[in-house]
Amino acid sequence: MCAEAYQRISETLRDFDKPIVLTLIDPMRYQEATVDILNYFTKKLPRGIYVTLNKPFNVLMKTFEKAGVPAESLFFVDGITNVPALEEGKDHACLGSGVGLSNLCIGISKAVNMFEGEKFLLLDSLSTLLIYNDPKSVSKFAHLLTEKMRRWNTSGSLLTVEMNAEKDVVSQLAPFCDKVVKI
Amino acid sequence: MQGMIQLAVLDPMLYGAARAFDYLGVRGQDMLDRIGEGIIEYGLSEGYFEKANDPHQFVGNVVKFFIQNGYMSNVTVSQSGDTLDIAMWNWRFLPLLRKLRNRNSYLLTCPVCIANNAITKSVGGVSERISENVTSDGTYSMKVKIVPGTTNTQSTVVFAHPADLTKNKIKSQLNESVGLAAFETVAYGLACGFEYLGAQAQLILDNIGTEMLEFMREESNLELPDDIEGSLETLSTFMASKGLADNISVKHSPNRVDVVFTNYHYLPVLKRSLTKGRSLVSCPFTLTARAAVRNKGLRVGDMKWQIGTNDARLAMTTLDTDHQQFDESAVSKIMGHA
Repeated sequence: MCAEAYQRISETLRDFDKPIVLTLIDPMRYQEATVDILNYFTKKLPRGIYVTLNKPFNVLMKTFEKAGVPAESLFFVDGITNVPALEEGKDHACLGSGVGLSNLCIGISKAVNMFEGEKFLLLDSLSTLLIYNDPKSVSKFAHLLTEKMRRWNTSGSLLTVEMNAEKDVVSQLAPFCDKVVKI
Repeated sequence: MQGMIQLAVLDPMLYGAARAFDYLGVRGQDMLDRIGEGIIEYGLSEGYFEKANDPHQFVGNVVKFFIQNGYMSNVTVSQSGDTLDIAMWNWRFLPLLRKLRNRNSYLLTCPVCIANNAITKSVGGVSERISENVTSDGTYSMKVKIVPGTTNTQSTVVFAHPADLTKNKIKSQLNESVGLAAFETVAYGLACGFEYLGAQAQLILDNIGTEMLEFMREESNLELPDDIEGSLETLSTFMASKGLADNISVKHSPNRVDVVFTNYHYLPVLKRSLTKGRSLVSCPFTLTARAAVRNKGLRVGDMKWQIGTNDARLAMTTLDTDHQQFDESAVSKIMGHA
């Protein structure tokens, strides 16, 4: 774990009860930062929904287990693993590669509703959505998701890798989040 | 040498990579050095050069490979403690270096240099850049000092005393050729350098493609027509004429682009990438084609490959984002019932 990043997240979010954070990550530190953010939330909340659009859930699960993150407390919504039809498991739901924004919203909603009690949600990442969607649609999607997260009383973070292409999205989304953290 | 490819194909890739990471400042060099790691990985696995336990010897092997592939005609290195004086003759990167400097871009994408950086970093060192010089006949020399570290800083990216590149007549070498093996190593480095980021690494490659188009417009006077079909046709003709393949034929239909590459020189890289389960593709044609498609307001969806012995077929779906606008209120209602 990169202690510096973990410490920065903890300090920045100290005054928030259920923060919704936009996390802008240095591309060189993406993997370590993701683990740090996950560590922060798993220490605070018993359950988590991890929306992965970047790497298959089984790859991530191994990475997290290796890093000492309690992966058993996570439910993965996987938008990258290609399966013939929607596949649901005990710890994951595969929506297929290049899933549309609407179906992604529905998939997330179902996952959140599966679990009672306090939980967090991590979206990994907004950057991936920009490959297949225009920035305006991605902003609308993120706006809706943050609004729903507040209604669900869910804490969490929308991750984005620091790239030129994200500038517009970040500036549009910042007002809807409690904090923008740069790692 | 196995075969040749013109710098008109390779240089846009190197330019695109440098420009795509400019926004990160000196940290961008760390991203570029990852391409160097890929160059090393590919070169070793293809047997293009041998690994040596002594990093200086290892760098020497890599340099020899690039000399054999025409990327420079000769290199001399003299060492005094941790300081190295390096001189390169007919260094193919020189015109590109000048162009990048003219844009205030100090990130270095010379394949020899980033491969060297990767080797030096692997033993816990980085090269502090002290001074550089270019003679009137175009011989480039630099003085660097190896210092401890694994990440770049201002002093390892920007020369304390940079050369004045405006004083020398540095001619464009885009019609000159280098060995295909050198091209393959760079292409592989681009394909695997950012894969640790997962699918979102495609955005980096798309940014590189956009910068490549800029370079090709400025340096090769390649103007793309307004329509996608014409743009792809222009790109395919250009890339084939510069040595990427014997022929590249493109067929565009709504939501789909089909490409057939005949005697495709990116194929060894593609085969290795796909065998290793890597989905990122750094073929210069596909990078620029994706950028051209994006420039028309579309996005590229799935890319499916069919691989032959020397040929390849690509089916690329295109997505019209104008017709796929996200309806926030409609989706919100559905989510309420999910």
